[in-house]
Amino acid sequence: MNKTTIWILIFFIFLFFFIYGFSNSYISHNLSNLAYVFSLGIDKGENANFKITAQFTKNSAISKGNSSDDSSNFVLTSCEADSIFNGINLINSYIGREVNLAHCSVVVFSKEIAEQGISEEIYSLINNEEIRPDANLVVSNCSAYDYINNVKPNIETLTSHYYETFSITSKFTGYIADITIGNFFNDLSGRSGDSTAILGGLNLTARENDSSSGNSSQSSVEDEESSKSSSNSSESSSSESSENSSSESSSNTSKVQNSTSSDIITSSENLIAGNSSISGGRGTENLGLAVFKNDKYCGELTVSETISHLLINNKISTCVVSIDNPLKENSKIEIQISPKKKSKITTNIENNNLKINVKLNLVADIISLDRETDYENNFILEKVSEATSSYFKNELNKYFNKVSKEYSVDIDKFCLSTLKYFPTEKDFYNFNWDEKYKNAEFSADVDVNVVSSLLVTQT
Amino acid sequence: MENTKIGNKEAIALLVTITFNQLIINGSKAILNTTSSASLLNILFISIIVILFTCAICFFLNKFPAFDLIDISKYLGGNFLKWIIGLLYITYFIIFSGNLLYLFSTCLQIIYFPVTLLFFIRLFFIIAAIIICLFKNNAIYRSTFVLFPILVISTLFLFISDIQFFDVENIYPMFGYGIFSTFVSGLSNLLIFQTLAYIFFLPPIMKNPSEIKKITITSIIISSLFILLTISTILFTFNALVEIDELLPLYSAVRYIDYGSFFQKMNSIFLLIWIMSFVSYLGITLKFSSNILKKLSLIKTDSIFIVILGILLFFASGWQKTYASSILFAQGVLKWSFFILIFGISFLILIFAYLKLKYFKSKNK
Repeated sequence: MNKTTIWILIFFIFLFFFIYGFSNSYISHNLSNLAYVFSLGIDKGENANFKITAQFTKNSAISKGNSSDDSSNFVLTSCEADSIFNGINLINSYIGREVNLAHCSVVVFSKEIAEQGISEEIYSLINNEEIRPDANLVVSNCSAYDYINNVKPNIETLTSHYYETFSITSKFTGYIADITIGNFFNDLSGRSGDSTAILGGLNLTARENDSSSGNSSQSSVEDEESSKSSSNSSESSSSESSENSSSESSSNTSKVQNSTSSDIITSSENLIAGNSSISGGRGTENLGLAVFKNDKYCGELTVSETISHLLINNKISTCVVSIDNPLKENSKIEIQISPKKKSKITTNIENNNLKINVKLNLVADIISLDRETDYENNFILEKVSEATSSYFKNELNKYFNKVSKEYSVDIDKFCLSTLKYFPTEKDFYNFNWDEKYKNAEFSADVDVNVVSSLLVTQT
Repeated sequence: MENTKIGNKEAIALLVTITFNQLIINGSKAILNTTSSASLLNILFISIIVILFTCAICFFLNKFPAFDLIDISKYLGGNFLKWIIGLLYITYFIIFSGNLLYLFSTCLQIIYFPVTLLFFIRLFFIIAAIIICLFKNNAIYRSTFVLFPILVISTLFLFISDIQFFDVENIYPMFGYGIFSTFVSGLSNLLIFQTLAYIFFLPPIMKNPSEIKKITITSIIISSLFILLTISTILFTFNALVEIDELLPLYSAVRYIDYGSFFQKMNSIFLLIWIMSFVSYLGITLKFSSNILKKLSLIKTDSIFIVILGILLFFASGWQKTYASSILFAQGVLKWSFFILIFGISFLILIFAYLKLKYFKSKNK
């Protein structure tokens, strides 16, 4: 044998060797062997620690892409287990494919679980290579199962597209924040502040359906319908959906903390998910934020408090607020605001007391007009500016009071602005931030420049 | 013959690649865990020390043009010292890179090949490194040079992509865990400049050995910038008070890159670049070790040495029981070996050889 033949022989031996060695990983990652989870729900179980719910999409739905009725294309499977991955394993064995979390866009924790603390679950999820840190984190004030079961695309063609709107909604309404598992994990693993999650719940339609027909029986019917409509598919989804839904119906009925039309809230000052007047095809809504002290849910922020939080953290592009009309008594005026400059947080330590100042610089446009007012008049614009400024000062003061005095949480990472006063971490910990923060003196400077009304300048 | 020597740019790429691999696999984690928010200050401090140390090495190496540490050892202590130093360095290179191979293979196994035996992943790297070393005309140095711009671009890309998550205030508290940990215990982070060990063997393979000072200082500065960029990315993306307890902190930062719905999961591209870079690193290590063996044995061909050293490297990457024990080994035995061998023994040899040279020169006069 000449030298070339020997080299070719060696090459093929190694090729065979590596094909053998790496084929196992390839087979397990093969698309046809994977079941992609779009959302993962975690509730408190009755027979085990957790009830895990996974929302899958059928492979055929991915390839179709533009299906008009997505509800028939997803499959909901749930089980009870003592840990998240134990549950996923159980679902894995039931589905017969490898459950893959690489496309998981949302992880939903029920409020009940969040109140007990979710650090172990978050660490476990982040520890998993498949879960992306940009998956959104939702705390639902209904059960996570109901939340996921009611997520049906409204104007989107695919459920996954709906999940992608979370970050956009956050920037243009200020009613929620784009909180991801990665953000939550960073806050949790660090010692520099507390964390938040998106607050989710059922909308009016879903709440009414639940209260009238006994909660999950509704979802069971819907699942059966969806299964029937997809009976030509090769998947065995119909049995999965109906079986699971019916088995869960009794437990969910008691767990869901519904509110019906009797406790609808319309004012943004008190509005949170699960209380709105929104009705529509998709049965879920996200409004406000769930606040965590360390890893435990300790309260919520209403939508107006969420706006304050986002303005402080520069995570908002524009939003609409309703303020008292300075030009007319007992009436409201709608203002569209957007940040002109980044907010500035200044902290001072005087006599061992903490002083925190937040400066906001906003531009605004008047949206709602009345006939008698000249909106090109500088005096009127200044008056509206002052009223808007005073509105935000008031809102910020209420917000500061809530987060520092009521919840004792530093979700705005004020402590990071204080770090510069301490040469070492030890000095900072000796300062006893938690105690000082509770008694901190807050102040807010809000500079609002109302530029104009929009298209109509004179009425 | 001329084609086997490397130019200035290739030498710089070679030296930076060595530091880069150290940085990705366990360097960044070590720096952040030792010095916390003072990491950038610590990097500046150790970079200055390394530049000064490199200047000193180059000063001595310039006195022995085209000589490496083996030749200088022979000059100082004859064949006995030459063999001792040669074997010490081969052992150091093989064990150090073997440990790094184990760490990187474990990361890859966790991330992409959960059901593949570690044996195959390690073997893949070893075979790739051996093949690349066996190519003629020192192809390993050329391929490293080709890969170098990709490393630069990927690091800059990572930094720019994560800027949206940056919070510059994360550099506070300025001295992190304290002044002592920043400037004294933080000296252990010198380990990241693994490239120092390779500088001693660089002159004979260079086209212009007289320019070694220019090359090494440039490469140290570029390496420092690399480290600064990488550590800044991690430090500014995560909170200042976050304990870095992830497998590959840089990989965690990469996972945050997201350009809309079209460019997601870019971590795969980064891992591919890091895999190529790591193969280059292993190749460089094999090549340098075989060069030493060649000098010790006086055999002209190095193919057989490369294969033998590759097998040794494979075994050196297989004894660790767990990832944690491997990290412990790197932070204990290997760290002290680095300081004793590079900052201690090698530097002393250079000093004594210089004194000997000076003595004989003055005697001849």
